[in-house]
Amino acid sequence: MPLLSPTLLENLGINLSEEHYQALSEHFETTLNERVINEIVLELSPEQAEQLATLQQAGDEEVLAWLKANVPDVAEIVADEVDILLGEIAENSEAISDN
Amino acid sequence: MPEKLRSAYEVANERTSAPDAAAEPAPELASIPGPHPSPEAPTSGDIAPVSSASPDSLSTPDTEPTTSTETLATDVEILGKHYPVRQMINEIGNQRMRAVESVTASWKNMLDTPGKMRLGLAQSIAKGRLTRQERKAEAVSHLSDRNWLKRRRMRKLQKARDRFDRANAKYQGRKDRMAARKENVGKNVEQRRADYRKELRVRREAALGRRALRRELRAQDAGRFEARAVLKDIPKEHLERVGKLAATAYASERKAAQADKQKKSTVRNENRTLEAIGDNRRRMSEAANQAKEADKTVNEYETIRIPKLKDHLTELRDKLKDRTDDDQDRDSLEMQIQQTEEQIKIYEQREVPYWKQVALSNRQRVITLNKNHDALTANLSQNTAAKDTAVTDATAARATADAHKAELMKAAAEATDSAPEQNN
Repeated sequence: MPLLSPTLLENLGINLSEEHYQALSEHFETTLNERVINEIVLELSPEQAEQLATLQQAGDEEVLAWLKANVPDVAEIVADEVDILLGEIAENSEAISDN
Repeated sequence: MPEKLRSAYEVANERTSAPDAAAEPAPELASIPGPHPSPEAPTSGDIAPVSSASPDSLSTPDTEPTTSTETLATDVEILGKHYPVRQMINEIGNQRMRAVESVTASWKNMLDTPGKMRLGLAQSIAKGRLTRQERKAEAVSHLSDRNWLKRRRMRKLQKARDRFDRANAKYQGRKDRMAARKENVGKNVEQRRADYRKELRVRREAALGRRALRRELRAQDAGRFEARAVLKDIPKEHLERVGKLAATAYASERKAAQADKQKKSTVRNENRTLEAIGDNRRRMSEAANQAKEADKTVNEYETIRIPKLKDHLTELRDKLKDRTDDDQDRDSLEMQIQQTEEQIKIYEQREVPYWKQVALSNRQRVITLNKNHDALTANLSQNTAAKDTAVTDATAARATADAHKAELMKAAAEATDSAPEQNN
């Protein structure tokens, strides 16, 4: 389920056309992923970063398990980044709206 | 690597959200109290306000000490479903609240409608009675106040007035109540929306605070588990303060970045205007030179070439006069005279006017370019003033942002310093 749904935006008073919603949603997801990755990478020691680099061919489950084991704060990082991003949208809700 | 991480994050969301649907009530149902309510679900039922689904009490790893096992469990929840479900509850809460309130208001208004009609009828009857009594009282107004009939009618008028006031008050009260129900649906939606925005802002501040502290702890080279423990022990006031500072610092940073962008834009404008002035000057110089060259050419035609040809023509005509009619050179001379006359004609009627026109158009171009130069110079002074203002603004914004950042770092350091003390 996407975090940024039209209903969520409507709840914030943001009315967007389908096209604009898709663009915003995509931008939201991309920005969120970038920020989460940035924070996770900052958490890693050089050795862990190397380990993670070796997991390039590993399956998603393996990478996820590794993340949970090596970055205990990952959930908080994700939640915080989502909070920050949603807060930014709430902050700029008037500017984002189509009308 | 980033691609892998991203996909892991997405997969985590997708994968863990599916079992949730089976293991727990659907989000729509989650808000309905049941024997096994979801931990994320508000237990106050359908009509719980949106803010009641606030995750503040749910994602509190920084306020409640937890073991690492518990933390992992919470992480799994957050990674997989905690946050999306929390969001969905918010959305559904607001949407459902509007529908529920709207239906409730309509239902209650429907129940109130017969009563309103009854009160309306009573008010209408009272109004008619009052009008009648007023007319009757008016008819005896000329009589003395002690007159029995007048006193009786005045009493009746007063009674009719009181009755009307009561009926009217009841009717208006009912009408207002019904209208207010409908209005409140809209107002409540707006209120919930404002509350939701506020909630998101508050959560953002808190998240910024936590992020700033995480970074500060990393900067202090704290171990992750140590950092985690420290984060949890930090007093809430400190976290809030850091959150606010982080938000302010973030806003200042953005403002500084915008001011810097503005500065760069004004510098670009100024440079562009300077280039335009230089280009204009070059074109003006070219036009002036071309005008001068054209003038020179005209002068050359008028003072040298044409007089020379005219002299030559005179000579040829003189020679022709000296020749007899049967002279064999006569035809050749006549031919030369004709050619010379044609050449003079070309010079006078085509070349000279052409070069005069070239000189004139270039002079006009110089005038136009000169006007352009004035406009560009005026632009330049405006752009320079704008640039100076933008540079000042950018410097001030950068100073503010740096000050806020320093304040934030200080507060974060204080917060981390104070945590063990609080703990002890």
